[in-house]
Amino acid sequence: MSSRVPGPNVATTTLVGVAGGSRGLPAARRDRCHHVEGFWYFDPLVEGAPPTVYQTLAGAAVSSLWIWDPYLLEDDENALGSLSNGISVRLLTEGSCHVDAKAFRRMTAFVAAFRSRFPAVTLQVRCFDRGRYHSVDSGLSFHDRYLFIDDEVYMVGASLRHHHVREAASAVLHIREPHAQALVRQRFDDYWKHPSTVQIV
Amino acid sequence: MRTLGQIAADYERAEVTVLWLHDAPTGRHVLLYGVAELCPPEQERSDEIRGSKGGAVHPMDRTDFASAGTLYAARIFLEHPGEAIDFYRGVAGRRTIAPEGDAIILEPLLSRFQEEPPDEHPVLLDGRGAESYAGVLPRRNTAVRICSRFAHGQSYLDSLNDRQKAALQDFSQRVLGIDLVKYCEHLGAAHLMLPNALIRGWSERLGEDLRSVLFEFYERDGRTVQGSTLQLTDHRTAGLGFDCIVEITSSRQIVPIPIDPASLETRLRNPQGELIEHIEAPFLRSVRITTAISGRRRRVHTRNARGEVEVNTIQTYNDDLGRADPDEEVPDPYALLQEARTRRESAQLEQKRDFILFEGGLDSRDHARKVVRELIGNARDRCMLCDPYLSAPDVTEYATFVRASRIKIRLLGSAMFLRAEAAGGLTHGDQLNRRLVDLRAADASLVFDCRVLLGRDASPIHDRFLMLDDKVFVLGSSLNELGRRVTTIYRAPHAPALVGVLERWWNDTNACVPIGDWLTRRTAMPRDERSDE
Repeated sequence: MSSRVPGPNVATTTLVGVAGGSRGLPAARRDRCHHVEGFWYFDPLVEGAPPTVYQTLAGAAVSSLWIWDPYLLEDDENALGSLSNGISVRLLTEGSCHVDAKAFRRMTAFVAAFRSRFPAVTLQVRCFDRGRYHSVDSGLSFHDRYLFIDDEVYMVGASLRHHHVREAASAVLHIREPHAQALVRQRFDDYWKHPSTVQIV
Repeated sequence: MRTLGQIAADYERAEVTVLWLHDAPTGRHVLLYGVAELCPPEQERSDEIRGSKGGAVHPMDRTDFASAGTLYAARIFLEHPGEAIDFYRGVAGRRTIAPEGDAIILEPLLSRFQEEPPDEHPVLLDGRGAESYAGVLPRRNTAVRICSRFAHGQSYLDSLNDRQKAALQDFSQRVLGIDLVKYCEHLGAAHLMLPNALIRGWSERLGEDLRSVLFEFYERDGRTVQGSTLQLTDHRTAGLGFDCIVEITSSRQIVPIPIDPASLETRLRNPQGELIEHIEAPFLRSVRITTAISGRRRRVHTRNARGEVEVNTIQTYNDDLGRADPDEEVPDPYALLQEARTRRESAQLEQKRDFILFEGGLDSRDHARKVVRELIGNARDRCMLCDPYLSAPDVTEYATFVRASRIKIRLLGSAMFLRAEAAGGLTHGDQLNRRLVDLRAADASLVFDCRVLLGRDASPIHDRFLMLDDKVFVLGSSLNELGRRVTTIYRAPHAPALVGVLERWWNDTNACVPIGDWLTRRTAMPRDERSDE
């Protein structure tokens, strides 16, 4: 585990100085994001720009960053702030990319923007193509969002877009139980390698 | 290290218990589970396995395997421990038994078994690591060492249909008292069990002065524990405390220790230096007992999307009387064991309601519904459902499952969703309000307080929460589709902080208003002016 990733024993009340040193929250945003030992939430009742918890966590990755988010949009690379050079990024999303040209274009636009912004980062994007074989009621579909920073796992309430555009209260939770972490990793791996999952890049 | 043949000299006799399949299409007998146990002096002989056919009693039991063959089980008693080792090892994967005199050759599930641990080096079953084995091996008063050969039972189980699985589960439970479906990693496996040959039990007590430990060993006939060694290690929060090794000179022995141990790890080694007992636990210092009480029932009638009437019965209680706290209530054989263990540990996490992963699909949706209803039913003082997509069906499906009769059920929805049109020319908000009135009229014990988060185009809150007493659960997806896709319920750590946030949202009159006020204001407003919602 990277020592730069905020761990469960961090006793600060904000993210300032916790992760990534200078990549902490800008001063103007500190009060909008609360952190209590592995749990962050941002308050919609206070005006201001979106909080940067997601950016801070992603920026703390030293070897790998895996993003599991069924709702990927073309400018979502903006939610990532800055990433360390040389890390490996995996992004798993969902959509009917074999029939939905717009969905496919959205993903390729994201890839182009990501590569332009992070040229020294290895990117793999895969899309679980639910529409190809499965109805939602088959159970083969995912809803929640997760963030895997090196060895740590975070449950993220809202999709990437909420972290750079939208104002709505959402939470980021550090999953601490090793078995819960293992279970979520296993499911990510199951979908990453699923026969219906399409490699975008 | 002694070989199995040398270790066998410590034992008097052996028992082999086998469950196998006579596969009708191929005519082969296939080993589904086998355990060979070397029995030390004074070990009670296990019950025989018997079955009857055509009025005659046979030394084995059987059952139909869903028309694909016959399942058999037998227990064979052997005079020479070495024969049990031969069974465990097999010859080219095959094993021979003769419960009725005629030899039966048991073929392996796979052509090759995978050995764990390697090279017949017995491993001492202990603590969490032994959980998988504890489910399928006979219980003994002492520790057991074991050698195993696995055959990728999960794959075999996956190849069975539901009727075959049910037959296998019923038969293994009825005859052997184990569940070979639940512990499927042991399907096709052969185990060699080596119980402690020196003692038939032992106890360990902390002295009143907290500076000594009294050991009592119950030696087997003709055996002595003298010459063995004890290793005591103190595990403290910061790391390891004291560590000492003493030779055992008596079956009752007091071992002095330097300080009161936090959690004491004890290892017992026989005179050959082999680890034969191991335990790590704090000494028992207190016991707490709780009781539960139940009361009246509430019945809620609803009509589902197919027009069928569903009746949900909820057991309610009067919280003055108290109740129980709900929280108290192969490629590689090593990887297989780990996987099976992870599966069961995940089930334990779910049981504790700390983290539950729903796999998606209709069964998963039913499961999620059951879990959330149970969580809500356990609320005693406070119940709040916060969901931007909260709708009338959610109230019936979930909120009515509150059992504490005097609790006020707080519902927090969003204008973003409630303003949208639903069926019958009504909005979701109209439907929700009507449902609340109807439910309240039908059952006065249901007390709702429903508020609407303002914001026409977007709810100011994205996530879904259940605040139940002093706990907060984060729902991965909204109640209206919880469990339908892969999702989780996670109990938020440090709930008081989140409780404070939820309370602040709830009490902010600029951000949320009672649903009645919101609807009245909305109705009074011309349609084209309903923008500030």
